[in-house]
Amino acid sequence: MKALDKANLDKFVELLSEEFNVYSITDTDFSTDFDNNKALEILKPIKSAKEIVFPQTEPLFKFDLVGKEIVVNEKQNSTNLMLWIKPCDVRGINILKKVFEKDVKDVYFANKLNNTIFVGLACNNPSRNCFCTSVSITPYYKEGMDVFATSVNGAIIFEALTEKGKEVLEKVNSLLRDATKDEVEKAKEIHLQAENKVRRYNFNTSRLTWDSDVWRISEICLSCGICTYLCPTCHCFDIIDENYVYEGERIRIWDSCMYSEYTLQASGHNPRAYRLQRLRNRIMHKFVWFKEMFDEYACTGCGRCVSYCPVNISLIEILGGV
Amino acid sequence: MDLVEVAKKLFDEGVEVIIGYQGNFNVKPIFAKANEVDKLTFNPLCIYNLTNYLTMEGFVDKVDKIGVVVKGCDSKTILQLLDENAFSRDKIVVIGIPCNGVIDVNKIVEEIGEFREFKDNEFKIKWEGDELVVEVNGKSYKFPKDKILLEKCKVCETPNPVVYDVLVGNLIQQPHRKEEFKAVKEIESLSLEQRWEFWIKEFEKCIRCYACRNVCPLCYCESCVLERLEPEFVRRAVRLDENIAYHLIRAYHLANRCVGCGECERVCPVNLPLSLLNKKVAKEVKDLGFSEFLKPIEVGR
Ligand code: SF4
Ligand code: SF4
Ligand code: SF4
Ligand code: SF4
Ligand code: SF4
Repeated sequence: MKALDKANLDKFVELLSEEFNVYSITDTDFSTDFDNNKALEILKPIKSAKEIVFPQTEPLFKFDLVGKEIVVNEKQNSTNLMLWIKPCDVRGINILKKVFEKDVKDVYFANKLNNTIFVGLACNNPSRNCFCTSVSITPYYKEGMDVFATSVNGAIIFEALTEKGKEVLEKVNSLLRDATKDEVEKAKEIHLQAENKVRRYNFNTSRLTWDSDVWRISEICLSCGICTYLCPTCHCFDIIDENYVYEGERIRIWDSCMYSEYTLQASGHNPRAYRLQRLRNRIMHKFVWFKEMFDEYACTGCGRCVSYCPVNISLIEILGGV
Repeated sequence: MDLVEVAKKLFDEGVEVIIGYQGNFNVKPIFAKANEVDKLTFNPLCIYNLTNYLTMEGFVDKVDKIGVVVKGCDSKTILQLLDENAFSRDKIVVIGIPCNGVIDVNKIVEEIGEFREFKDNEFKIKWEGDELVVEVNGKSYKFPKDKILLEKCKVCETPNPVVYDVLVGNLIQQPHRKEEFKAVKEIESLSLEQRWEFWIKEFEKCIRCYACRNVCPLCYCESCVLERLEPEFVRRAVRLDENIAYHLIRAYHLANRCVGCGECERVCPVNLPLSLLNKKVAKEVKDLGFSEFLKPIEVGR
């Protein structure tokens, strides 16, 4: 395993930027405009990493309202590199992959995913609302990453997991040295410490029945987009045409199943007119129907929906985990 | 009488539901029925403005008599809603609580520096004069008021409810605070370019989750312009230009109506300074000769 001394962090990012669009963690999101030292310390941004492969507003093609021309949005050719993405966010992308690649492959998603390299970082310091270990991953889960890193005292140690990952480490090879035995041991220790720190719940999904009492909490729900927009696995979208004076654009935008208009049909009928129906749909989808379909929960345990719900509605409580 | 006793009496008198607070550390709104009266609580973590629920999904029309718990700031919403004929006065029983100020629970967790969630029964929190006292499992922590109070509470002009049917606790004699629009004046002192830059940076962050609209007790139009597709006042693309359009519409629709409860700013996941925008509008309105909210004060005549 290779190691980078943190003193060389700036050079490391500089070298990577020569070849990749480097995104890293800011307080709010993944951005190309980040602070090298801070990015390493922030556990996760408010917004999840799904935006990189599934942007909130994605232009599909432009059309001319006068003539007949259609311009398909060009495929991106440069490669994105996501620096220090956390296990739960990579897990989120793995889950999206199942959805976007089932039956028909979504080309927009696939193109972005192919063009993105994930340099993930194990979590040293899980937060109060993390519960990844209750949904079968850990703070050092690696699936979907190209390089897996752990921050150990003054160094970061790396393990390449894919061909792409090897290339990345090759690129910065001049800055790397071999990791010491101590560092490798210490990394394992850090992984286990973090795992023990994450609060673990025994979720009871059998209580999620159609007319269960648990849905009563929807009385206080505001039908906002926070839980769905911040969630790394929520993937509802809408496709619309936006017309300007002489031209128009077809775009794909995130939608939220928590909005009252989400299921409003042209006839005026709304099958999920009430908040109870919508909240139930969101939770049942993640923990019952998705499980039936893909044999796992559509939840990474990142805790964002719990932390940011404006009225303190907690998925953990709904699942009987307290 | 304490809150639960008051509530019991109201249920006996025919109130069907009381919109109040439950929990101690883990505070949430609750729509309490008579058999849940013991769940009702009030402490410095009761941050939510519950009047928002009165108009949500037409609640006020579905129930004959509703009790609602309000702090000083929340009570102003009731006046404004009545002024707009949102519902008739005799539909609701206002349970007013004189308020010493509220706190964001995350701030407490941050200050205490403990990782775990506290159980409601191992956690106590109350004001003692100018100090906030928190007790967790026998350990006690004290915080000075100025340090921990929510910003809006620092300039609160109405700690006592301005409208109520029953009062829980004693009216507060506090040194008269005044909203002096400090932050607005600061922004106004910048050049046009600097202000533009400041706001662009903020509006760019908005993810249009509409939590700020949905939490606002005064955004209760049955059909909101934001949902209209024909004509489409604000396009759905989440981009700077459309975000600006959204925020201008929101701010203008609340001009002279916003009561400054601060809920919109509190809920924003990406921390847009919405109160600053609201207050800018409020200040303009005041300078035009209207009070910041409620009825016009006499102009000229
Ligand atoms: S449901 Fe909540 S905890 Fe689970 S992945 Fe989504 S935001 Fe994270
Ligand atoms: S949920 Fe787990 S993987 Fe995600 S930040 Fe917390 S500890 Fe890390
Ligand atoms: S974040 Fe909370 S209030 Fe908003 S829709 Fe989700 S559960 Fe409801
Ligand atoms: S709550 Fe914040 S992010 Fe959401 S729409 Fe309002 S300003 Fe935008
Ligand atoms: S705009 Fe904000 S501060 Fe004003 S009433 Fe609405 S939620 Fe309260």
